[in-house]
Amino acid sequence: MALAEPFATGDSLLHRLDPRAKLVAAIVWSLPLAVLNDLRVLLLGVVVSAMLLAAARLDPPRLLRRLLLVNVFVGFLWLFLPWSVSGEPVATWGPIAVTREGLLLALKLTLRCNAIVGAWIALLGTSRLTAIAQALRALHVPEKLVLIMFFCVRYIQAIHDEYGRMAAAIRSRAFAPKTTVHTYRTYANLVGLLLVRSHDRAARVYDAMICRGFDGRLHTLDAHRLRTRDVVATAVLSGLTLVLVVMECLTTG
Amino acid sequence: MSDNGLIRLQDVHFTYLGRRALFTGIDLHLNAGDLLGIVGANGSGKTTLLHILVGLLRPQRGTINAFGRTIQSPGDYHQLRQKIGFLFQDSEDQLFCPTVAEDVAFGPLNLGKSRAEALAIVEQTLERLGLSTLAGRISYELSGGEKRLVALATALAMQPEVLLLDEPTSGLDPRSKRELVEHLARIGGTQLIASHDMEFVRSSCRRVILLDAGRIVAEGPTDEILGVEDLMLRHGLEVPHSLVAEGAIALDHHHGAGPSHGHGHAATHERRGHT
Repeated sequence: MALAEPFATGDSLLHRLDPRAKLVAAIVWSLPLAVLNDLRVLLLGVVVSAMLLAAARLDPPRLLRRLLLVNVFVGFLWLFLPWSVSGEPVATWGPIAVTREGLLLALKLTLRCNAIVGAWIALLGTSRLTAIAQALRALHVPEKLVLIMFFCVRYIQAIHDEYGRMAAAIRSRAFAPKTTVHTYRTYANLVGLLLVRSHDRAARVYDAMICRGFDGRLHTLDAHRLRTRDVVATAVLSGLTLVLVVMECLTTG
Repeated sequence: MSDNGLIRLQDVHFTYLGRRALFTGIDLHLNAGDLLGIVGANGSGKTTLLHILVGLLRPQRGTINAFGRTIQSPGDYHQLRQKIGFLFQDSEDQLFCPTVAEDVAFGPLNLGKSRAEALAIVEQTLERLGLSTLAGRISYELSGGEKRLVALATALAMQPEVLLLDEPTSGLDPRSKRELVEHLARIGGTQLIASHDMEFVRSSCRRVILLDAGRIVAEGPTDEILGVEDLMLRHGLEVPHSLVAEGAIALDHHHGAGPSHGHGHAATHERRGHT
């Protein structure tokens, strides 16, 4: 059981690029963007990410759902930042003052988050998980980390399903969550059992793996070769990142 | 070991941590070409025995000889597992790669096959089981029957000399079960099947051993063991319906109620005391 990879199949240019090139491009893109601060620069970052998403030709409803999910968390920032950051008030309700600086910060974080997540969906969402694992290994990420990443992603859904089954079992016995010790105890038992079952599942999967000759290295069927287009694509995105950094430097003096 | 002996367990003792001993000196012989069933009620030790055979559990005492050598070190077990295909009780545990093809290729790639060789094995194995159309499918989206067959394909792709199957019919509907029986018959070779599905064991195994509380209590040709009603009931099992329908059961072999249709030798295979 595992998470589906809804964007991994396709025939766009981004789907055809070597995962190693895409991984490098994604890292090169994200790190500076995480610290850039100029609103126009961040806006340009979002535009570039949107272009990447368009180039990836992903299923729009699915993509919007994925972005919406990310922006739910961003929404919490909009709930708190506008009135918790000190600065020039633009509106006041009793003791609460919404400041220009707070709104600006929330907006910048929203743009930054969407620019990075959009690029990662376009670049890494268009690769299979096994290909990304292979790319990480090619970039000399320690094997154990690669395996942990691989299995974390693959079994999130399994753990979620396990939780679903147990939640259904407690609901079927007339459990209704309330603010009571019984409720807390029930949820504590549920979480505890989830951990135990996850551990058991992990042990069984490991047994199944070693029965098929697993020796600590993950071999896959994916065969990739770095081509000129991969190098060009990485160079173009790196160039765009550099442009954003230079723009930021120029605007901030 | 006999000339065609593949695996031999001798005087194996095994105890799960903090529990009472499960096996206290069990012996098991598996010869080339055997279709051997291990039957027994829940908790009788069937799965544990299979896990000991492939080194997923290590016995506290006793010896394991397999393919002409004594298995002792982790390296021995690693080599042993390359010759044994294991079908786990829960196919979900066995299918962890994104697609069916990748799952089937996992074993061959670990054995050092090239991608091209692994792909050829995948194609061949899936075709053998009539699963070619599933190659690109996401493993977790398959039906229970399909998952079981794909799990079998992952074991077969190792090109094993022995196939160990742990409760292969659990959760399967009658049609999937029939398909599995047909495939196993076609695959042939040496198979060790642990199951409490008596009909399945009857249709797939030539010989059975009956396990109860970690002891082999009876051993012999399938119908001769499964047809002894008293023996089966005493050890938490039932005579397969097909055998009842054929009238080939012995109601109580201890009291001379001999089975019909020539199944009168089960008593000679029943073991007394600890094995």
